[in-house]
Amino acid sequence: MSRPPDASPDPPPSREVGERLARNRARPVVLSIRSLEKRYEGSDGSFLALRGLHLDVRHREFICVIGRSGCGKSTLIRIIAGLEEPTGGEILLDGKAVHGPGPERGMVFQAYTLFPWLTVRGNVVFGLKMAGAERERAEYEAMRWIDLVGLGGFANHYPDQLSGGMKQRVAIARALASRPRILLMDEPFGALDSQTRTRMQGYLLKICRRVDVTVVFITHDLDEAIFLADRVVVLPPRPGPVQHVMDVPLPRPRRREHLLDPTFIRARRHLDAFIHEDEPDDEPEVPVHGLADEVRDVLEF
Amino acid sequence: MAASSPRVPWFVVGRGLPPRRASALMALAFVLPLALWGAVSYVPWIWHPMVEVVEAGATGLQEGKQYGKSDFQAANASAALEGREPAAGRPANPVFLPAPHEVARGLYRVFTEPPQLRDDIWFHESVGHSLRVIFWGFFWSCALGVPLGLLAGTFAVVARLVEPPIDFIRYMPAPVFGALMVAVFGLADAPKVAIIFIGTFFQMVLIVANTTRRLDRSLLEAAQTLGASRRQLVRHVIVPGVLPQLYTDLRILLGWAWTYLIVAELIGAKSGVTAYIAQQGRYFNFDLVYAAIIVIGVIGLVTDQILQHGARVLFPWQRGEAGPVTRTVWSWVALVPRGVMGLVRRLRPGPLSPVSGRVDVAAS
Ligand SMILES: Nc1ncnc2c1ncn2[C@@H]1O[C@H](COP(=O)(O)OP(=O)(O)OP(=O)(O)O)[C@@H](O)[C@H]1O
Ligand SMILES: [Mg+2]
Repeated sequence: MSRPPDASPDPPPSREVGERLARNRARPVVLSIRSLEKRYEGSDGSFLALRGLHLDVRHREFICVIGRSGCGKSTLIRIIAGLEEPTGGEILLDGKAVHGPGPERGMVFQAYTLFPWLTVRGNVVFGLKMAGAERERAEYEAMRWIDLVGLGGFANHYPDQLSGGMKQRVAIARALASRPRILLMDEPFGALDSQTRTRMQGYLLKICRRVDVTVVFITHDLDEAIFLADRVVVLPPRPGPVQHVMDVPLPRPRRREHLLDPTFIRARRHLDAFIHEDEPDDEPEVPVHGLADEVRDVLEF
Repeated sequence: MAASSPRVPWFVVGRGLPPRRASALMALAFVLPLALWGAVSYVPWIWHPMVEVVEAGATGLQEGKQYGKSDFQAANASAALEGREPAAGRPANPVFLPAPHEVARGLYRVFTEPPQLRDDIWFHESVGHSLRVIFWGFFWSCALGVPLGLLAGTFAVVARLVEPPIDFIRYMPAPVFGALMVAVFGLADAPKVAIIFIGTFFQMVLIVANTTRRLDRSLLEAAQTLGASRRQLVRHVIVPGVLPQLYTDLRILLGWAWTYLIVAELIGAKSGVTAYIAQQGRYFNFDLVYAAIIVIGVIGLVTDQILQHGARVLFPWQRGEAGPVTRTVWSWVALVPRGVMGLVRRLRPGPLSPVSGRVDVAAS
């Protein structure tokens, strides 16, 4: 793992946190990514999106994956979900290689993907119905998941009648109803306003405390990553092995105050150095011609 | 009232009109052509290029017949020259433009007047015949075209196999198959049904396939991560996902079926409304011709309105999908019970409990 010269070493965890991290490390590996490679073949040659990627995710861990835009985060999660086939390496779930999508790997997408013709209940029942569950039991179980995400009063609403945050909560309930081993989330809160987003993060952590599930969560928001994760994984800007893995030195349950905690801020600065690693501090001055002075002022700022 | 306030501009890009104005405009859309027609028919100095002979005198013109203005004047001039009694006439429009009241009477006559010849058919029989031909043609078209379109839209294999030949055939105008269909199916209704089928089937496959392909791919992916098998994807995602658009497609294709009806009814033995209209045209009963045309138009409009309203019942998750005509028509229909209620209220002296207001579901 390369490390930029100006990055401080991993912030030391407190004893309580250290013990929790140690417990995490003792858990069995659920998801194993083995020298993953993905090459897209286009009409204008091929494009390498991922190369030599290794990662182990342990049981009930919450992993956040961050990296520059275009570094292959979505590609990675789609391969884990089975929506894309890798061109090299493999994905092991509980030690067995997986091919193609399946209900043991639930997915929540950034775009709302609820079925518009089904009510909230219908959406959450969907996976159980596909698995051939008996209807009454499926409905009962679905209601429990809907209650869990706090939408008990909206079971008979259509997705169109819900706000963005509510839709994503339904999407989470829908994915969890199939009892996945692992929950994959690709910037699920990316389209939400910051307040809703904050609330959704709280919901998600609460849900994860009560449900036996492992989470791989993609985001480009460092605060979100640190706030949610046990470990933050940094993908390199160019295809290659994982650039950095950081154990988040914060206790659980997480609270909003943690965002102002010196430990949090140190962790954030630490990750920042990876994300903005080789960006020059001062851009070369570009002469601006033919623009009004006010505009130039704005640009030069 | 905001609706009639002069401050609301009339021409706004991409926005609806206040409901009152929309209703008024739609009424105007009907009234304006009617007024124009009435003016041309009833105001003698507007147009009226013909002269209808009221009294023939000794001109040799026939009473009750129409002549061009110059012919009429020439006949009268020669009569005057030879000292014969001139004809009297009044300005008239050509037979192919009957006045509104004549057409209105035609709307009554078209249903009550028995056919002129023994083996002619009643108008309502001809309409029934046309509707039967359309129904069966469209039925077979849907029965085969929709599943094939869905398959072609779902599986690239089917699309590659099916779409090129269909693309080839669909540009052949349906009439070219007329003679062939008569040869294959004989002279009865079967070739007519076949023409409607040919006219709509090939378009339908391509349109349905396209509609299917436009279904949001992420819905399919979501379903796959929920464990849907290939069969389940088709049955539980693709079919319900395309249904509303499919319904609209079929509604539009039904309109096409009507245009192919003319072709269908002209091949083999003439039949249906086309035969009726052609026959009445030959008898110069243009009031009946117009009446028949109007009845067809009304049938089309009513069918379409019912289907549009049906969509709202069938697909409750889609809101605000009705077109402008539907919205106005249904707002008019909604006026009827309100008017009745108003009447009831006026007739009954005692206070009446308020009509239940709409309860909106709070979504917060
Ligand atoms: N279907 C595809 N065909 C060709 N190239 C692709 C395809 N999908 C993704 N790519 C390329 O692979 C790279 C990684 O894409 P990916 O969507 O995984 O990035 P990302 O890290 O999720 O970015 P973002 O943060 O913007 O979502 C991009 O450069 C993209 O152009
Ligand atoms: Mg992405």
